[in-house]
Amino acid sequence: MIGTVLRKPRKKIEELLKWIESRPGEVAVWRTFPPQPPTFGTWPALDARLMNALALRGIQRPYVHQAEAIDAALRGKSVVVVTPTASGKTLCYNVPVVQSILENPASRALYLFPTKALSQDQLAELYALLEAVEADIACFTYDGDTAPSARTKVRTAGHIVITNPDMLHTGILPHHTKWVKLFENLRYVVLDEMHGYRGVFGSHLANVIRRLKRICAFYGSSPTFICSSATISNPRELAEALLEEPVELVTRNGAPRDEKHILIQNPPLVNRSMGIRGSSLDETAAIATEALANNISTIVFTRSRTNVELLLHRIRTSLKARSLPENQVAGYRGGYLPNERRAIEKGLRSGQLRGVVSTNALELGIDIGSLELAVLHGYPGSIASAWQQMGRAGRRQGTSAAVLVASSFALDQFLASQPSYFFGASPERARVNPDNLYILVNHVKCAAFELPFREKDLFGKAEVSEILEYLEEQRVLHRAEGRYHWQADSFPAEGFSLRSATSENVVILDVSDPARHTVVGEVDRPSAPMLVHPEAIYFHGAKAYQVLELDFKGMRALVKPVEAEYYTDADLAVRLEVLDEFDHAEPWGWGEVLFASRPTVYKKIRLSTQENVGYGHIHLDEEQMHTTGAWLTLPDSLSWESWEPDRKSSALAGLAHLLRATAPLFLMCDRGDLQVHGMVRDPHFERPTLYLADNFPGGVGLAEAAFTLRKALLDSAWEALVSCPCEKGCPACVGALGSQIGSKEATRALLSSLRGLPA
Amino acid sequence: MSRLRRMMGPPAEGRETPKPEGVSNLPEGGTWAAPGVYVLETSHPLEEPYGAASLAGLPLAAERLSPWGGANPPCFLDLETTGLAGGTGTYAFLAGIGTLEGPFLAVRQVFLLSPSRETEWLETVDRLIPRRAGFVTYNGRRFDLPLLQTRAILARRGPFRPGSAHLDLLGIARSLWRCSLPSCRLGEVERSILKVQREAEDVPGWQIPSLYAEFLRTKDAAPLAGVFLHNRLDILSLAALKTHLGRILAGEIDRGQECLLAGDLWAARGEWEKAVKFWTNALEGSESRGEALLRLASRAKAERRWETAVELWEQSREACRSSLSVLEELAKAYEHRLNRLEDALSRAEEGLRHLDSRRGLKGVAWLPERQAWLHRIARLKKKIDAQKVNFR
Repeated sequence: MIGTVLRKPRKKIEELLKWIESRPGEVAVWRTFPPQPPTFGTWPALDARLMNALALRGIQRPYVHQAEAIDAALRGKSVVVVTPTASGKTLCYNVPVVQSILENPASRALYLFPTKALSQDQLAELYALLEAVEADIACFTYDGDTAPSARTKVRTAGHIVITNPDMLHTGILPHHTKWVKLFENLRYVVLDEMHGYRGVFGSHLANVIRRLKRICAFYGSSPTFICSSATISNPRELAEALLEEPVELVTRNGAPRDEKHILIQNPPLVNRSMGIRGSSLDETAAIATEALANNISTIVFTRSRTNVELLLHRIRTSLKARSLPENQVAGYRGGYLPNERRAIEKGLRSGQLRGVVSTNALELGIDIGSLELAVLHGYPGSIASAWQQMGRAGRRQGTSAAVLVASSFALDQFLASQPSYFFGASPERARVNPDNLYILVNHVKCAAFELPFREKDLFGKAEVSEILEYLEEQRVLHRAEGRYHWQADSFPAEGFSLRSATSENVVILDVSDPARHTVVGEVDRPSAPMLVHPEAIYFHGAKAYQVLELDFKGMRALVKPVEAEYYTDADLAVRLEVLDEFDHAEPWGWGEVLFASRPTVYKKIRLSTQENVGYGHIHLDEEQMHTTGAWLTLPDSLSWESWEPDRKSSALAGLAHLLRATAPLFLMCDRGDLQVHGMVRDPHFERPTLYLADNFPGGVGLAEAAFTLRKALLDSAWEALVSCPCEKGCPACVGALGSQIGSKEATRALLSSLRGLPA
Repeated sequence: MSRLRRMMGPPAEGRETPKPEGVSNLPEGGTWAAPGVYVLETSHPLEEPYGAASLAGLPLAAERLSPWGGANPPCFLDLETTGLAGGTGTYAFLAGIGTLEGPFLAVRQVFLLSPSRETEWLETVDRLIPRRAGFVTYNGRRFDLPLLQTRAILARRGPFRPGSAHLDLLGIARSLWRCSLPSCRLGEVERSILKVQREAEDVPGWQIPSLYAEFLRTKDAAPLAGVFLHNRLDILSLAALKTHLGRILAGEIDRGQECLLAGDLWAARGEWEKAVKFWTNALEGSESRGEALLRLASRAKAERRWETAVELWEQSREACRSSLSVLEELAKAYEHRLNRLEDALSRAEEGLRHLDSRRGLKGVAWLPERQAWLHRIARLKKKIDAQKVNFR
């Protein structure tokens, strides 16, 4: 209904794309995906009531991927379905679940959705199917919002319980004796948006699944898992890492789709020799403004919170300059308070808001209706993410378009010049490290709280006898006759969060009125030294604040509103030390490392021109972290000794810059999840060394993956370097200082000799 | 052996089971009910005084508290646990079970020497609770019994004594003392109501989990002496409290405020005759008189005894500051039930004055409420005028 209101004559959007093409700069890629007809499969034997209900809902035949997934699940095989957005994935799990309950009314299912908002949407869809089935199937959401009075009923009467990993972790598993009916009869567990369970969150989730399976085994059930995932290169590997059991893989998508245009727009080269391009921020703002001015509903995605504010400010200013209402577009990001967010979602659904500038906070299935255009300010950090953001435009019928505006970052430029990485088979590998010691120990505690461990018991596939002994020493467990019993007066699941290594946030307080401090927003603890160090400029709601004091004890940053013409960008001084080597293949290795960091100086960068207009010192303590790292020690055979010290350091810095940009394409992580640093004189190896380290305590699998994918990493770094049109180096390849210190040549020499080595 | 036990029943009570290696300083005089399960039994004559209260009326309390689930032969139950966190990771290591045996209260304390013997411990606890017994606990509905259920499920024993009657004294205690005591914890009720002074050897509840954890490591039970005492005193307090509540609800203790609230408890059970009796008794107390009048009045209203209701409301205005709601009730009853329009008008006008004097407190509600009063006054005036015309 809203879709029809929003959909404008088709010409509009195509005209807009032509307008983009006519702009300075180049459309590096313009792909048109023609409408595609559906491919159907056949239903397996299903209950007549379910068949009728499906027919009533207008579903005569399943698409081929649905049929394959349903068939596997009904055979009791765990399955992972890889589908793009809006391809009817919910049917893949709703059909087997409903069928199993119709066959046996005692049967139960558990749905896990990564966010609360998403599960509300799915619930509505499931209810519609259940109503049509006309059987007595109870389906409830169980999360923090479930009223205590309703909880007993959900525990005993709910056939289908919809929840999120966090609630499973703190609210269900530790109280499993209240859920006897569920665990005795658990037939299916649905894991939606599985590709999101990577890194820290995925490593936690894998352990939550270990606990879930342990409890199921106690009650004599052994559920089948049905997972859905966006396109990544290793869906089976990820599912098997999370579930620790074999899964069937369904990848053939049978859903039809309407015409869609995908463009990669590169801002104009303003300085060919230095490879400097026009601002992607300006370009994004210009496209969004033009679209909104033509009444094309638009969503703009950008990576950072700061950029949300910058873009919002630009777009509003331009709209105002064209005498158009500026409040038709809003910002949306983490750090906005929940009620602000709900109001924006509502405005978008109703069409009152025509545009939104967002971080990936809006990427998951929060219902904001269908939009015509998605503009991505820079590559969002993963290909799966890019497709999901592009999928935000035109989820229902009608021509739609998505434009990726390439930024000057190397990976953006790399994808613009090598679009096969983007449109071809996804190179992204999602990684988890369920045996991260910090994460594992916390979950072993939770598991021991839930059911005593026997000596020699495995936890999933993990050997945990040493951890159990350690916890006995800590007087958390008590061993008696070969069993470890929980012996502490505490509730371990409440001691940590699944979402981050640390669960704390720094609250940002406006203290300009001494009588009334107001909360402006919040920032996670690890980002605080970079974002809200003293004198930093912090943007919220297109308003600038200056940080007066960062108080780690009180977990707050005190700020005052200012009129700032600049924003700040902090530099981090780092130190790396190898503590233990797990594996090596000359010249590479990986193992446990100590990563120490301290922000030292900040630059002031003018908002309008991006030029550096000053700097200041930051006085904060060094922070230390034990994590995993992969390293590349430069071998003697490089005849490196003959190089000038400056040339060495610029080559190393150039290579670090290239890897920092391209490695996330393979490791499926954010740029910030990985620390890449070169050390010309490494104290451990006594040779120049380059490190790629997980930016999480204990590591989440990125270093190991980097070690495994070392050849692909160097190859893509090489491709990025040689495809860059600059002469001496630029931000898109070896870094901003490249042209001044001539590091492109040095890096090129280094890389070519490295690649000449036996891999 | 296990097959025999399963088929022929568990070992008989009191049979000698060897003492586990190395455990020292358990309280003397107990018996081994099973390996790792030590039972200490004490007996307390009901005639012995217990603080300001006594257990003498305990047998009578069953009948008196039967509407609240107290009719069955009582089994006083209190658990000492490894924590208060709840969930599946907390277990009980000491169960106090009190039963009435002639002129004595028998207290059996079932002690678990190691979590590995929990199944035997649960069996013993189950065996020592007489069939048909009704649990008497303090917050057992939320804590002790769910915990036993959880432990029984984990030991694969199925539900623990399903369908048993259960009198949780916390609910009644809250109704009676919520407003007069700083908290309704058992310790507070014991001190302030039963006037019981705990012995110096008793340990505070929060220390108990760590004392037990320490015992598991050292096998020295000496520091647990205070825990056994604490648990035994809890059972005695439960019995004394039940006796005391029985007396209050039988009308043997007629302190005004308690009397009023006891009436409320009966009213909540639909026992109106008893409720009215208690409220009538509460008229004697100076603090409780006003509230008692209001309750009696609303009861009279429910029974449509309007003359009585009006009289009680009028009296309540002397007993305590007259409230808007009483004035409203009076105005309505005079107007619609008794056709005393002049009286209705005078109460309505008083109501309006009262409302205006509280304007600041009423906030935004003031205006609409004032409209309602003005409307009532206008209607009454009109009716009175009409009557005058008719009269002429």
